[in-house]
Amino acid sequence: MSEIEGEVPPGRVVDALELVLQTPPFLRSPKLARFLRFVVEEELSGQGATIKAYTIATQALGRGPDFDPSLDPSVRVEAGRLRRALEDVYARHAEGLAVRIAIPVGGYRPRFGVLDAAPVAVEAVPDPVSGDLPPVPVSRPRPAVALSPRGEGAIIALLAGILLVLCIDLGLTVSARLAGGPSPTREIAVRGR
Amino acid sequence: MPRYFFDIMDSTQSVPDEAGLDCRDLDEAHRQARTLIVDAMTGPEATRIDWCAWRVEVRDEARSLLFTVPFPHPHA
Repeated sequence: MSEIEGEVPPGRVVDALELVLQTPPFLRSPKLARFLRFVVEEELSGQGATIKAYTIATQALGRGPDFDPSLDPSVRVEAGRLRRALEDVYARHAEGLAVRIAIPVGGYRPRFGVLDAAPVAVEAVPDPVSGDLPPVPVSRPRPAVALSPRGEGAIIALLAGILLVLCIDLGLTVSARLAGGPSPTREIAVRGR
Repeated sequence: MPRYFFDIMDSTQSVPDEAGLDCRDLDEAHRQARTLIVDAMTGPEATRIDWCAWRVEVRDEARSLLFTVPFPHPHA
């Protein structure tokens, strides 16, 4: 699953945001969910340039107006956790997500990218030990016609039968010619004269 | 995969980890702790934070302390 850079329609970003917020890492942490929703909505409303540690702390994380980002690393720490949570979502819970939301290191403004193929649901092959799904969802192209192994066997048997009939017919024709019999084609030609 | 929690603190402040992270093993948990440290020290705004006083306490799902990773000196 690769990412295509460029403008992403806001509606698709909002759809992706709502899906991301329903994934386990964000359900476990309301604080990270509020952080993500705040920065995405600010960016979409054209206020991305004003996203600072102070605005995140006071408007998303419930800190008071005395919050001092030069002495309190809370927002920096939560931003790091938010990046890890997003990585986890796109690695393990990306079913149906068509837009990637990322917060590049060194800032708080989100970046959006269209994923070229939304992954299909991971085939459930549970780990016998932990029961977890494989870490990376695999997107597989679907064949135009899906055949079961039984169906494939029937088609192979049918083709083999046709080939056998053709071989028998060819053998009979060749043996008839070798026996010196008149060829039907020549007989027709003689009659035609 | 087991879940680990990465509480970040100094002697007076603490930023507890609500969500935790699923990691394959202790080695990956250690790598994640170091990544969180680098992220925290690479913020967009200047700070007067004394990073040497900060550390990451890595805990298991029972919140038992497994190991601690100190923040490095900013100019190390």
